[in-house]
Order: sequence, then structure tokens, then C-alpha cells
Amino acid sequence: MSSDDSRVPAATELAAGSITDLFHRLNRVLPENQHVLTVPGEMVAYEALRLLRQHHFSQVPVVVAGEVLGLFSYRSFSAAVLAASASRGGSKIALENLTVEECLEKAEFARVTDEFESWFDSLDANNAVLVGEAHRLQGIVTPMDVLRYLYEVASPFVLVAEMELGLRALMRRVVTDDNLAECAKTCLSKLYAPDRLPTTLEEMTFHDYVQIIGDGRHWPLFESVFRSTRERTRAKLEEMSELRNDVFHFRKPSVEDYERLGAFRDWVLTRARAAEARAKDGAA
Amino acid sequence: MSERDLLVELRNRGLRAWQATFVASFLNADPSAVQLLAAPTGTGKMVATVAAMRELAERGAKRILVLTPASLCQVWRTRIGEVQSQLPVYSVARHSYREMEAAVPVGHSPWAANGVFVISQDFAKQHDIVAGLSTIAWDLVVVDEAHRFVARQRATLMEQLVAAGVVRRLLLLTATPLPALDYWLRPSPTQPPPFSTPPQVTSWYGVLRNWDGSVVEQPRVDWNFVRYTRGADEVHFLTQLLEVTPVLEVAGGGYQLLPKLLIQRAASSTFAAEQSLQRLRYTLRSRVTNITAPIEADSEAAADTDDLETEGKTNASTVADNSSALQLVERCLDALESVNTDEKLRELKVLVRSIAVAYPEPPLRICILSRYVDTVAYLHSALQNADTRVFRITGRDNFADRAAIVEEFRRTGGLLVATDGGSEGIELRDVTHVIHYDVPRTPMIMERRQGRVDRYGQTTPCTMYVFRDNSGAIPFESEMIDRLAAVL
Repeated sequence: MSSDDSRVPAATELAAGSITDLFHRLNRVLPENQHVLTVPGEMVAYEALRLLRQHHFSQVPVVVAGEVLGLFSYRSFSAAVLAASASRGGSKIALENLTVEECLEKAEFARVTDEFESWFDSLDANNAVLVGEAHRLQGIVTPMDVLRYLYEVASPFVLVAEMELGLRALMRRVVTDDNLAECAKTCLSKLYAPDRLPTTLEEMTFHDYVQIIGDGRHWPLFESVFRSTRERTRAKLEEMSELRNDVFHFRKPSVEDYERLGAFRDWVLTRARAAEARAKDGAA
Repeated sequence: MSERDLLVELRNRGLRAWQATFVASFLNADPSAVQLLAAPTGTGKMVATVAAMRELAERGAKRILVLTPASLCQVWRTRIGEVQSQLPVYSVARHSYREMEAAVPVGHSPWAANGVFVISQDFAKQHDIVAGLSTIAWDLVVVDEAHRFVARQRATLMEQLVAAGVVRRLLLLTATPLPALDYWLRPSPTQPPPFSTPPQVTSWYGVLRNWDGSVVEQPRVDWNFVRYTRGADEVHFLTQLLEVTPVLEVAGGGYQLLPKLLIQRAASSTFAAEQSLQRLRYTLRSRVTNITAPIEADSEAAADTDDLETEGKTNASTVADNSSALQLVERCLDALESVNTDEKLRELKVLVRSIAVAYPEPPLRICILSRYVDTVAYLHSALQNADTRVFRITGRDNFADRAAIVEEFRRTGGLLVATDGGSEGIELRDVTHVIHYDVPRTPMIMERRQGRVDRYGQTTPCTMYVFRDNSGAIPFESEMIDRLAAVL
């Protein structure tokens, strides 16, 4: 290949981040730093089975001279043994000499740009899909990768829902409807026209909750449920509000963002448990 | 274009004399010689490098590779895009690489297109990536933070590129003074360097001169120590934390380094400690209840943040370890509930007010720096009632947003609360006061903080403040500040 070869304009578009990259395709499901284990065709099946056990894999691509010939799996091994046994009319076969090349299953290849749901049936049947081409293996997608990906996409929304509903419930515990309407008048009137001022929790935004709880004039109402200090509580709620905003604007959360979301959700839950326990004590 | 004309052209584009001189000498130098630019933070080595790229692109260069820490990819991409339009600029990570690869026929290189490719050093050193990069001719390869490559484990990437003979020009950038780079400059038979001849060095650590030949003077910096005393409830919490963390270290929970980080965060602010403890509780609970983490660690993303928590993680440990660690974390969080004071924050508010009163000429530009995103979030929230605008930048904001926020801050004045990561790649010119709310891990980071604000050639005097707790509740914090005071 010429090192001066620049006949690949498509690559430049993609490197810049194409619009189609925003869609949920197989590339998004492939783990970021996947290292694909492959075995050579002449490897004895016994050794390949040991590798599968060691890595907790169900199958492995068989590569000869840079080309994927097929897949070696427990299933392909069983099928090869049965076939060899049948061809020998029930006489013994030398399993120790069986190579992976003699136990191959045909591999199907998906492209990184494919819609991943179009490979569901194949994933269901084969437990994995190879990505790339026979001469250029880019990765392997398994049903677990799909599940992890879908969980990653969905879990922030679930956590935000829990956080927000929990926060509303905590506020309800300490303020009456009248209190709340009064709080809204005090600190939200600059943000809304008089006829549009929200007075119930359902009408308010998360930002409104932060304004009300974090306002020094209202803090005595909320101190008993949130504990801590007003500054720390307000900073925490503002962080929650920003993360919520990121989630609903579909910005990809980082690993830390997941931890933050989870920790905020846990914090609301802890406050809710403490409030309920105190209420029970009070009732007793 | 003659060298003289080039210097005039570069001067007209706003380059400073030492930057323009470097660009001219770099372009005139023998391309096969490796060039090393060692420059203190604040001297503008990125400005000079991007200007050199533009010149090379105008002279026909087709492919340029920039290898940089992940946290600086965005900054480089933006700066290069701003300065030159001859070549498209791409930032490539694993996902975009896969699509680039799929878009070319088998046997063709995804890197063959013309352009400036900005990629993180961690991505570049991956086996398949370095192999691909080594098959394509590069008109220029820029290695930022090149001192990292002195370390043996990182050297392979550069060695492979050099050995492949695909690099027409190699420019190494570092903010590390030269003695640290002895490995390259004075090769020994036991440790052969990656280059056949030592790099040609340009050092900006000596005297720099303006266009008129006058010596560039560093702006005057006055250092002040703000003494305060943590409240009894804060000291009680910190004492508990100091007692618990060695036990937490033993209990493990897969967080062998975390106890130390927790104390460092607590030294920054109670809020940062609280946030860390709550995130730790969440993770430990997930482990105890055997919930798998939702996503795999993304090394690129982790590298692009100023949150150090990921540094503390090691392999998952047993449920029993996690349970005992969880109990300790719960204990700390319980202790934290009774902390109602924050003397450091109170002192900060007093300081900001006193600066505002004493500083007669608006706009006042005060920059408050911290190591932690959480502390920055806390201060941003707590200072909202000050009679001035409060801005915030952290490593979690993209570079364009950060640059726009800083521009607005420069225009209107006010308070800018920033993390070290957030201020990376940003020039905080015209800042009149810098408040170091906490002290960085190393003197080098302190120097970088100073370099962000205290740019060479700036004339505005700057006053810096460092907080020191008289209670001595966190011994290592006091020691660090005392060491700093001795140096200053």
C-alpha cells in the first residue's frame, strides 16, 4: 500500500463524527477496549476448550493467515465429535488430535454501522456476532454486551425518576400546600409572570425545587428532612439538577456521572428512610 | 517567504517574539532532527506549535499527528481548527476509529486521509493503533507532555513511530525543565534512546525577549496566607475520618488508595468529602448486593476528568470486605451529619468581600482554584449571593464552553471558580486575584496553576491567596502548605 494513499474521503467524514454516529448501532454496543481472543487453525481442540473455560467464553474465532475461517465453540466441538464418530461407524476417535479447524462453524459478520436489533435473531441463535470482515475482525458482540448497553442507556432515566419523585415526597412531608405556595411566591416570582407562577410540586421544575429548598428563608422548613447544612444541600441539589439536565438532553454520562446519579438517588432514599423512621417514632 | 517576512507575518498574527522565533527556526531546521521545546506553563508553546502547523500546511503538509493526553485532545482540536483551515482536524477515539476502519477497503489504512489527527496518547499506544500509525507517512508528529515518554512503558509508542521511518518531522513539547529529560539528551549505552541523535532543544526557561529586544518581565505576584480555624464539629468529623480511613484501607472493598484521596478531599471541603463518601457508599452497596456496575470503565473518559476517585480503585474484593468497608463509610457519613459549620467557606466569603472593597478599579476578576469538581460545585453554589457574577469551569465542560465562559468572565469581571482540569488549556489573563482554596498534589501543578493566570508578558499584577487551617486537623495539609510557604 502506498503511504501517500488518500483515496478514502469517507474516513474523514467519520473521524469528524458523522450524524449517523448518533444512532444506536452495533458500534455503540461494542465495548470500548475489547481485546478479541482468537486461535490458530492448527490448535488442538483440547487446548482451545481449555482457553474457553479459562476466559469464560462460549466460542472463539479461528484465524488463519489473518482471515477468520469460522468459530470454534463447545457446540462446534460436539458437532465435530458426533460427525467424526458417525463417519467411523461408532469406532473410537482420537480426540487429542482433533484441531479447531476440524471443528469449525461458519461465522456471520456484521458491520459496525448495522442496526443492532437486526442481529437479535443471530445473537439469540449463536450467542455472538462477529463484527468486521473475514480479513479484518473488529470485535465480537454478545447478548450480554447488548444487555449492558441497553442498561447503560436506560438506567440514568430510571435513577432520575427515583431521585425526583423521592425529592417531591420529602418536600411534601414537611410543607403543606399553603406553605409551598408561599415559598413559590417568595423565591420564584422573579422567574415567572404572576399568572404563571407554579404553586404545586407537579407544576414546578426541578430547578424550582432547588430554589425553594436552598433559600435561606425556607431552610428551617426543610432542615429536618435534609439534615446537613443549607449550603451543602443546595450544592448537592444543584448538582442533581445539572445531571438531570444532562440526562434529558441525552449527553452521554461518564462513569463518574453514573456513580453520582446513583449516589444522589441513594442520598434521597436515605433521607426518605430517616424521615419515615422519625415519623414512626413520633407516632409511637 | 524570507525568515524576516515570516517573523513580521507571525508578529501580525499576535505571536510573541520568542514564539515567532521558534516557529521560524523550526521551519528552517533540518526536518530529520527531532525538535524539543521545553517551556514553562504560560509561555504559549501551543500557540507556537499551532502556528508552525499552519505554516507547514500552507507549504504542502498533508498529514499531521498530534499525540496528547486525553484531557487536552479537545483543546488541541479547537486551537488547530481556529488557526488554520488548510487541513481538516479530527479527534479520533476507538468508536470513530472503528467506523474509519470499516469505511476503507481491507488492506487500506484508515489514517490515509489528509488532515490533522488529534489522538490521545493512551489510545495511540494500543497495539493495533500504533501499528496502523506506523504505516503512514506523517509530515509532522507533535508529542505534547513529551516528558511522559521518558518512562519506559510509554516510550514504545514513540520508538515504534520513529523506527518505522514514517515521521518527517517530530516535535516534542514539555513543560518540564531539561534535567528531567536527561535520558534523551545524554543517552547511555545501558538505556539507548529512541532517537539516533539527541533532540535539538529550544528552552524557554531562560530569559525571554519582547519584539523590541527588552527582557520579558514576569508580572509581580504577591502571596498571602489566609489563616482560619476549622470549627470543633469539623475537627471532630476529620478526626473520625482520619481514624477510619486506615481501617478502611485494610478492609479494602477494592479501594486501597481511596482513604488517602478521601482525606485530601476533606482537606479541600467537607462537601467534597461528603460527595465522595456517598459515591463510595453507593458503589459498596452495589457490590454487597451484587449489582454489576452499569458500564465498563472508559479509560478515555476517566482520563479526561479532574475527579481522582477512579485512581483509588483496584480489583473487586469480597462481599465481606465490602460490607465492613460500607459500615465504616456509613459511620463517617453519620458523623458528617452533625457538621454545621464551614469556617473555610466563611473565611472565603470574608476575603472576597474585602478584596472587592479594597480594589478600587472594576472589573475585579477573582479566580478561585480547587482540585475537585465537588468543591467547585459547592463554592459556585455558596457564592451565588455575593454581589457579583459567579462563573464556573471544570474538566467536565467541553473546551468551547469553557473558553466562552472565561471570555464572558474577562468581559464582565466577577468570580471564576475552576478546577485544575477545567483551567487546563485556558489562559486566565487579567485575573487580579487568585485564591487557592486547596493546594495541589505537587509543586508542578501549583506552577501550572500559576502559569494559567500569570502569563508571560502580562502586566497586571496578581495577588495569590492560600488557605491555612490553624487547627491542624489534617496534618499533611498543614505540612504541604508550610512547604509551599517556605518555597515562596
